[in-house]
Amino acid sequence: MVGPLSSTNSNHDKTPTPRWVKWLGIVAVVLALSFVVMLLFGGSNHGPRRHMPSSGITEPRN
Amino acid sequence: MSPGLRRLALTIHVTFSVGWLGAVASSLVLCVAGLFSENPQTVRSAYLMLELVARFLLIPLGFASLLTGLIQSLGSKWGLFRHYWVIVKLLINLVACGVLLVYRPTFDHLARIATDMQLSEAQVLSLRSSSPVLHASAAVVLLVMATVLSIYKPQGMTSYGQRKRRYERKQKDASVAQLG
Repeated sequence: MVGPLSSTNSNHDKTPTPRWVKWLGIVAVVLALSFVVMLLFGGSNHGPRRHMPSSGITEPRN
Repeated sequence: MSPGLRRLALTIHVTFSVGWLGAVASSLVLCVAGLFSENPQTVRSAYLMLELVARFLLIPLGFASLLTGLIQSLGSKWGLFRHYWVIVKLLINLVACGVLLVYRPTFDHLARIATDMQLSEAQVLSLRSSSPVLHASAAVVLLVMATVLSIYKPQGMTSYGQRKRRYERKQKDASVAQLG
C-alpha cells in the first residue's frame, strides 16, 4: 500500500545510520551475548541467593 | 501539545530522571559501604537502607522517568522513534527498570538477613557482596549516558523519522504553493 509514510520512492536521499549508533549496537550485542553465556555456563540460578556469598546463612526465623 | 504544556512535561521528566540518577548514586554509596565496611552494624544499616531506597526511590523514580519521557516525547518535535538518541534513551530506561524489578528480591533478601539479630558478627560480615556495587555502578553509567544524550542530542534520524520529515516537508510545500 503506498501511503505518505511508505518506503517506496524514498530511498534516494536516505542518510546512513550514524557511526555512534553502530558502535553502541555492537557493544550492546556483546554485553547481551556475554550475559547469555554467563547464564548458560554460570549456573541457571539467577535469583537473590546467586549473589550472596556462601556463608551458610539461612532465612531468618519470624 | 501547547508550548507551555510541552515545557511542563519536559520539566517533570527532567526532575524525575535527574532525581533517579541521584537515587542510584546514593544507592551506590550504600552498596560500597556494605561491601567495604568492617563494622557489622554499618553493613546491616547499609543493606537495610538500600532496600528502602530501592522500594521508595529507585523503582518509583525509574518508572516515573519512563512514563513522563514517553508522554513528553510524543508531544515534542523529537518524537519517540524519529531520532536515534531518543530510542537509545528509551532502551536505557527500559533495561534499567527491568533490571531493578529483577533485582528487587535481592534487596529484600539482603534487608531480611540484615535484620536477623541472631546472626553473629562474622556472619553479618559475610553478607558483604560485590553484586550490588556492580549493578549500581552499571546503573550510574547508563543514566549518565542518558543524560549526555539528552543534552548533546547527537545527530541521526531513523528511516521512519526521515520519511516523516519528507512527508511533512511535502505537506508544507503543498500548502505554501496553495497560498501562492
